[in-house]
Order: sequence, then C-alpha cells, then structure tokens
Amino acid sequence: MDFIRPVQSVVSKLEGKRMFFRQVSEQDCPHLLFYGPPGSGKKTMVMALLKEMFGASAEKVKLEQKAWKINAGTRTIELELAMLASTHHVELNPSDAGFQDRYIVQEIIKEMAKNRPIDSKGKKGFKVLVLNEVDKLSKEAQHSLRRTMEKYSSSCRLILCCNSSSRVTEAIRSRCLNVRLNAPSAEQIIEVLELIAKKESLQLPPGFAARIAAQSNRSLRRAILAFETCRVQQYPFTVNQAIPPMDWEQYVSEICSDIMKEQSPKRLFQVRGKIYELLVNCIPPEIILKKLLSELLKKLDSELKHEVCHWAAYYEHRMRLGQKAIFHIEAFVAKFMSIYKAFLIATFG
Amino acid sequence: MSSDIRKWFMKQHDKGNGGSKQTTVSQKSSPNVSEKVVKEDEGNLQRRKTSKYFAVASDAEKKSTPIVKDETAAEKASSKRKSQKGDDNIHNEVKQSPAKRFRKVDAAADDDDFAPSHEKKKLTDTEPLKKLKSNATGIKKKSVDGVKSDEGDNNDKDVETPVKGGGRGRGGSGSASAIGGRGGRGGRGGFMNFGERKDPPHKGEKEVPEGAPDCLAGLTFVISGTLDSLEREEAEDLIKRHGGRVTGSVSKKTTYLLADEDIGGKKSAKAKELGYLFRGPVSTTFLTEDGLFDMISKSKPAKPSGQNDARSKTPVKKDKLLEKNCLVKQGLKGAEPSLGIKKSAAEDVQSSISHQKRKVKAGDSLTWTEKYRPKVPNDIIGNQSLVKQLHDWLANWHTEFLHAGKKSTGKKQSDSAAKKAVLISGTPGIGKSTSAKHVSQMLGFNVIEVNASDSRGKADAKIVKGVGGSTSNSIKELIDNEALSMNKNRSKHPKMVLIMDEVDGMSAGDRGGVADLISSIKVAKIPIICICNDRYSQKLKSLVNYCMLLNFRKPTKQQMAKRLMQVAQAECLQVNEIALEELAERVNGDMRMALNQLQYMSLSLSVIKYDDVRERLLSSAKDEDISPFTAVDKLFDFKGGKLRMDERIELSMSDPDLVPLIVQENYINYRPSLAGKDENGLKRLNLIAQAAESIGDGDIFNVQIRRYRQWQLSQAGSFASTIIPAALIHGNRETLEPGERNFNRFGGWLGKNSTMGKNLRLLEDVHIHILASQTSNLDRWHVSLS
Repeated sequence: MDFIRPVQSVVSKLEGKRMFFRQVSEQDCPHLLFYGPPGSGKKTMVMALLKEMFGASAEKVKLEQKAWKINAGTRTIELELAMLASTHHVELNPSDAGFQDRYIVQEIIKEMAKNRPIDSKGKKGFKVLVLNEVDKLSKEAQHSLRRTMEKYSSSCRLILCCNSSSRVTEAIRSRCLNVRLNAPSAEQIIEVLELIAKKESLQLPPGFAARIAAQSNRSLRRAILAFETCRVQQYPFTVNQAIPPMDWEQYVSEICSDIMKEQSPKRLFQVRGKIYELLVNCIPPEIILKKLLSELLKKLDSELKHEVCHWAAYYEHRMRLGQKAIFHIEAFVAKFMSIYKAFLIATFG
Repeated sequence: MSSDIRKWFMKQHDKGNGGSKQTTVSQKSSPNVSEKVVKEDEGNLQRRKTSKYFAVASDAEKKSTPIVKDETAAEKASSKRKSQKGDDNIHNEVKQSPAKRFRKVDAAADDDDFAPSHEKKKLTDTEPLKKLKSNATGIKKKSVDGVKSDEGDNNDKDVETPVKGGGRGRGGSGSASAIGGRGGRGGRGGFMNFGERKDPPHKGEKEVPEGAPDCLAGLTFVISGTLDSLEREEAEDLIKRHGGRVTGSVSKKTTYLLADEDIGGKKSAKAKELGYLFRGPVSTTFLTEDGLFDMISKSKPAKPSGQNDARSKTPVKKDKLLEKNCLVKQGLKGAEPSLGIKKSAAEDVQSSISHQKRKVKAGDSLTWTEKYRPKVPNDIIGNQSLVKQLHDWLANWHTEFLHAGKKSTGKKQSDSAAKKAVLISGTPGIGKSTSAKHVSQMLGFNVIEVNASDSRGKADAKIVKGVGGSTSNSIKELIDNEALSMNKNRSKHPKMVLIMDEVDGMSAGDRGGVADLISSIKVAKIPIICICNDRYSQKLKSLVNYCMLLNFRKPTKQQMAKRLMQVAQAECLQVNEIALEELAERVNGDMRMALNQLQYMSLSLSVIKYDDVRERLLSSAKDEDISPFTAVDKLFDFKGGKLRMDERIELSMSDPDLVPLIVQENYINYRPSLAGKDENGLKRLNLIAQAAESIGDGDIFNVQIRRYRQWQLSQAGSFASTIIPAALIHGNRETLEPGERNFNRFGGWLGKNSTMGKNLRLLEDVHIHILASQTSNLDRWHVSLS
C-alpha cells in the first residue's frame, strides 16, 4: 500500500490532466462523472482534484458512521451509512444501502446538498459530494438524484464515480461533465512500476515489470498490488519469478475447467458450491460471470463462442434485474453445459 | 398370499379327510412346481414360499424324524434363507420367537378364512393377488402330483397338531387351522425378506379388498413397521372404514399387531410380552397385511355362517367373534361393541333411543350445540381437574377475599395462589364459557356475562364502557352496589359472578378495556371470570398477572367420541364410533364444531359411517399446514406431473419464500421423468438449464414484488420459481454426493447470503479504514487479495 501514495502524482502526470485540473479548479466546477475500468485511476483523479480545489485541507478527512432515520411515508427507515468527510467534501457510497438507496439519495444527499458550507472565507462557495459506485444505484435513486443535482447546484457539486457510464441514466450523464479514464496501457504500467521501484529503491529485473503488466489486465492497481506481493514473497527479484495470480481468478479458472471436463448435474452441483464460495467472499457476481466467460472462451471452439457470449450477456442482464445472483450464474452454467454437451455429442458422437 | 395357499391347503385337506390316503410324494413334482413359480414376476416371494413349502414336504417324507424337529428344521431353513438375504435382525427375531405366536396369527386369520363356507372359495380365490393366483393355479395344474405331495404334508400336520395343540394355548383347534397356520407362516417368511424400507415394497400392487362395513368392529389394531403394499395411512383408513380401531401403541386392549415384518421394535416386543402375560380374552396377536385383507374380504358375503365360525373359533377369540356375528345379524350399527358399551343389550339401546325420541320432538328448533350444552359440570368433557379447581376457587371466593379484604384493606394480592380473578384460556369450542357458567350456577351465583366481542354494538358498548370508563357506570356500579348490598344483607341477595367472555377480543373499540378490567379486579367485591382464547396475546399480558390461570386443554378424541355418541343416540342417529372418533379428530378438539358438523350431517343422513365423515371433512383437513419440504416433495415427486394445477399452486404458495429456495437447492438432484431415456444425459441437462432459467425468472419476479410491491405478480412468481421447474424436473431423486441423505436439503441461499453479508460488513470496515488512511481504493478488490 505504501506505493499507492506516489501514484497520485504519477497518474496525474501520466494522464496529462493538469490542464483539466486547472480549468476545473479555477473556474466554476461543473458536476463531474468519472467513469472507466477499475484501476484506471478514477479515485486518484478525484482526490487530486479535491486537493487542487481546496488545498491540503481536503486530505484531512475523518470517518463518520452516522445512523439516519428517514421518514418514508408510513414507516421510518433506519439506515447506517459510513461517510468520509473533510471540511469541504463528503464522500459516500449510497449503493451500500441496497434497495433502500433511493431514500439515501432523497433524504440524506438532499439534506447535505441544501446546506451551504460554513467556511465563508474559502474561495469556493460550494461543497463537494463524492458518490461512489453510482452505476450500482437503482433507477429510482438515480432519478431522484437528478433533481437534486439541478436544484442545489449553487451550493453543492457532485462528483460521481462509476465503472460503466451505460448504467448511469442519460439524465444524469447529461448533467455532468463526463470524464472517461482509460485503463493504462502496458507501457504506462511498466513506467509506473519502474518509477515505484526507483522510489522504493528496489532492483527491478528487466522484463519482470512487463510480465506484471501483462498479467494485470491493464489495471494499474492490480499491477502495483501484484508487484507488492511479489516483493513480499521474494525480495531480490529473479527474472522468471512467478507472479501469483489473484486467488479468486484461479478459483474461477478452476471452475471453468470443471465445467469443461464434465457436464452433468453432479458437476453443476459442485460448481454451485464453488460459486457460492466466491460470492460469500464478496467477489461481485458480475465479475465472476465475466471472468467465467472469458475463461470459457479461451477453451471454446469458435463456433460456440458467439452463442455462449450471447447467453452470458443474457444472464448478466437477468442477474441485474434479479437479486439472487447465484440463481443466474447457475442458470448460465447449466445453459452452457447443455450447449456444450450437445456440441460435443454432435461433433464427436 | 398366505391366505390363498391356506385355502388351497384346505381344499386338499378336505379331500384328504375325505379318505384319500395317498401319501407317496413324488419327488418330481417339486422341481416342476418351483420352476414354474420362479418364472412368475414375484419370483422372490414365490421362491421363498415354495421352497419353504417343499422343505416341509420333504420333511414329511422323512417320517422317521420326530415331528417337533421337523418344525424347527423348517424354521431354521427359513431363517437361513433370510440371513442369506442379509436380514439379520429379522432372522434373530424369528429364531427367538416360538411357533406359538405364529400360531396365534393363524388363529386370527383362520377365523375369517373359515368363515365363509367352502362354496365361496372360488370367489375368494380370485380376489386379492394376481401373483398368488398364478401360484395357486400353477400348482393346481400339476394337481395330480401336487395334491399327492400336499396330502403328505397335510397328513403330517394332522398328526402334528394334536401333539402341539396344548402347548399352543388354544385347545381343540382343528387340524385345518394348523394347516392354515403353516401357510400363514410361510407367508410371513416371505415378507420378511423385504427388510426395513420406507416405502411399502409392493405399493399399489395389491387390490385392496372391500368387506362388510363392520367386519372389524370391536377389534383394536396397532400397526408396526412397513406393510407390504399399504402405506400406514391407507392401512389405518382401511381398518377404520371397516369399523376397527387403530391405536398408537400396544396395550392390553390391542387385539392385533399388524405387521408384515418383524422388525423387532418396541411394539412387537410389547405385544409378545403381553401375549404371554394375558392369554385371557383379549391378547395381542400378530397379523399380516394379507391376513387383514382376508379378514375384510371374507366378510364381504355379509352372511357369515355361524356354524363355520363356531367350529373354527379358538377360545381366544370366541367371545369377540360371537359378539361380532350377533351384531352383524342384528344390524345394529348404532350400538357398536365398543369397549364402553360392550355389554349393552339391544333392548337397552332401543329403549333409550325411543326415550330420546320424545325429547327430540320437544326441542327441535334448537341447534345441537345449545341443546346438548352440558347441563352439569360433570357433563363437561375433559379438563375435569380444572373445572374442579374453578369450582373450589369460586366456592372459597367470598370467605377468602371479602372477609380477608376487610382485615387487610383489600390487598390480598401477595398470596400468589389466591388471585381475585380467573383467566380461562383455551381453543374455541372446548367448553370454557360453559364450564364457567355451570360452575357458577351450581354454586348458586348469579351470572352476569359480558361478551366483550359484542361490545362494538351500541347497546353493549355501554356496558363495556362501563368497564372501560373510570367514572361510575353500570358494571362498576354493579360491582360496588352488589358488594354493598351483600355486605348489608347477604342472605337475601343472590351472589353475583361476572364472566368477562372473550377478553382478548377487547380491542380498538374498547380502549383501555383491559387496564380498567384490571382496576376493576382490584376493587371488585364479586368474583370475575375472564375467558380468552390466546393467553399469550399481547393485550392480555398485564391481565395475566392479576388472574389465576386455568388453561383448558382439548378433550381427547375418545372423550369427544363418547359424548358425540350420546348425542347421536339421543338424536336417533346411527353412527359408528370409529366415525365419531374420526370426526373428533378432524375438528381438532372443537366440540362445538363437531356437534355442528354432526347436526349438519344428520340432516341428510340417518346412518353416518366412517366414509361419510371422511368425505365431509376432507376439505377441512386440507387446511393443515404443509411444510415447505413436503410441498417440494410433492411437486417433485415422481407423480408430480399428475397434480392438478390448482394443487400445484396451492403447494407452491404454502410458503412462497421458502419453497423456491428449496426448489433451487434441490432441482439438480432429480432425475426428470420427462427426459425419458437419454443415454448421455443431454436431455436432462437441457431440462436443468430450462429450469434454472425459470428459477431466475422467479427471482426477477421476486424483485418486482418486493421492491416495487407488485404483489399481483406473486402467483406468476411462484409459477416461475416453483411450478415450472417442478414440471420440468419432477422425477426420482438421486444423490449427487456420496454419503448424502436422499432428502431435500434446505435452501443454501439464506445461509450463504448471511455469510456474504457478514463478510461484506467486515470488508466495509476494512475499506473505511483504508479510506481514512487516505488511500483510495475500491473495496471489493481487497478481499480478493487477502
């Protein structure tokens, strides 16, 4: 984790966003929506931006665990929400409230947005709300957000972070300045890793950084974390030191080979157990499904790829509509098994 | 099965008695017969049977060996075979159990076997079991040889019986019954092969006989172990339908222990013990399912020839059978030879009926519940001790509270045993109000009943306001006034008692009713009896502290049936006691409902039989709770495809949250019968995929229902999550993992979800700490690393 701090400056340098920062911080800041794949530096950007706007005081944050009582028509809902607040900004994760997120948006965020910042001598006449994982908000919550954005724009700016802008409603997107952050390329990652190695005064054998970058799936965070793990495992790096893959990814590929090896109810039952294991450890179901698909695609005949992708998308959509992810992942696995078995029988008899 | 062989034996035997003295046994016949028999479908059974039988036959050949040894040899042979089948348990049982007991079984069976005269043999022959028939006929074809060999056997037995007769405890038993016994035992031996199994091994294969409705009257059965073809419930039903009584455990009164296999359980052990101890008029004997079928089917001719009966009757059964016969002849179904009214002569019943008839005419307009409301406390069924307690409390009330109250200013609450009020609780229709009223009346109290649930009406509201209001109004006044007047002039004024009925019905309309009732209790100078259904109701929590609690229990079905019988007799209804017990069971202890039902049935029927009760109350029985497991079991059962759609919906809606989860957990385990024959399992996988998708649909529906409160979708939801998968997948369940029990698992989702929630919270904490330390990160990724 020690590495991450320097990365802020690194990233901002790499991305060449200085101009953007200056623009945003010196003039009136619009609402912002950062989106991009994980590990592309969205949060880093946000932090850097806040620092740019409010100076060092933006870094002095404290954690607040607040219980809210919300009157929702006939009943009162009690919610507990953790938020990170400095004098100038509040960061929170409204989608944590699950299907009650709409009350958070309607009540809490509105409440905060209404109040003007106390700090009068500050140069900015507004405060900033950072909302994470906006794409996980339900449709209703997003709808109630959009009115808030307009109404209280004088006193409050929203910075939204999400992975996929397609899951944010059009209305919100149009109210924000959309900033897409691309995943860093392999070269950029190598560059960063080398920078870190220099700062930490580590010996980095040639090619090692490239291998980490290749395995990181273009996520800078993963690259750095993998780098750190490697260092913990064995410090003087050797050239062909194995880079440990993420254990859950390993697990998913295990599941994948299970599925490919045998298609039977029994196997499906075992797979279910393994998927449960992943879910219980808080691996997001979408990522499981995605990983599973990509693993499966590696081994599939090209004939089947299209169909399997179709079904994966189909079940992912349903998973989003539904609540119990396991049902849908299992349905996908069952579907795949039946397709694949039919294919095997058709080709090999 | 055994019966048919027996019959056949009998036939041969008759011939044999007729004077044929061919004793030569042709060895040839045996392989022939056995070969033939082996071909039959029920090879297993048959083989056992015939081989055993031939073992005996060969024994008969070697006449040099003592007869008793023959017995044991046969016994051993059978047991050996059993042990080959790996059924040690049964094996041991049989070894230990002396022949006597089997004999008794035979005796029982014989009674009925011999009941119809020989002309009817053909008729009965065709009846129960095809396989048997084939066996019997198969042998018959070989008649010449076969007869001879049997003759040998029979003769052997004839010799044998006198020797053993005394020992068996049934003197004078004819040779015929001994042969029957042989056959019967063979039958038992055959069934023992099946070991302990959950489902009857020949479920649905046998034709259930129908007999005269009262052929089992007065007999008490206990069912033990697994029967050959009937489910436990079916057997119970069968017995009850024919007038028998089924009890749960063996007692002195038990006539038969119905068991097809001797599993050596408690019941059979007890039965044996009792069999030894009480060889008196009623002793427990063993009976196989086939024996039962015989008993029933034999009664069908409905004209049991008394002569035959008398001949075959063993002393053990004599009185019972006599009773049965005479009763059947008289056709007096109303006066069943039940244990209670056993001795009641026909005239008695007649006179009592005529006596009651007059009464009936007098009060025709009343409902029976009013009409037969207990008139004296002793009439109240069940809870006698509680009634007594109430009586004592009421009787001592005045001495205890009024006088003590004078001394210690009305604060006698410290004595926990003596409370000023009583709270009677219990389910509806078991006579709470009635007993309260009668006890009060008996003690000469004047009853004032306040029916709290009527209080919403205007007229009554005043009274309840009286209880509820703090100012002096009717009830309070009543309490005080009466107390005053009592103090002044007790002898003139009748004593009062206030019965607050249905106090748990005091709700919105009577605000503060309970609180004021309590305060009334504190100051009351008259006893107050409160009555409620649910003592644990929230409303009554405070009241409970001020009352002596009397919890009325439901009367037993026997008690109820007894009372119902009295009513039925009074109303000139011909009702079977078993039917009444069934009625009592169905109404779940609610005497009032039972009476109502009885009256309702009496409008259309004058003779009420077990079946009528069953039919009438079938709908009410359906309201029982179905556990989600049974619901899933039924839906996914092999026969699940035959369920009607409304039944399926009913099942799936029995618990619309849990059933889908259990379905989801278990649908993989079923081998779909829709798939038919697929070698490579492709069809099954296809079906599973479809089912999984449908379960996913169900989840989506569920979200719509919960999040957007679209409850109108609930049926569609349960349709998608339960019924469609069930329709696709239903079939036999199989285990996927070794060591797994072949029952439906509980849905794993709930547990996993809560673990996930816990982990998420932990993760959230980690995340927050990381955030606080100014390193920005998305949470999920950390866990995957740690």
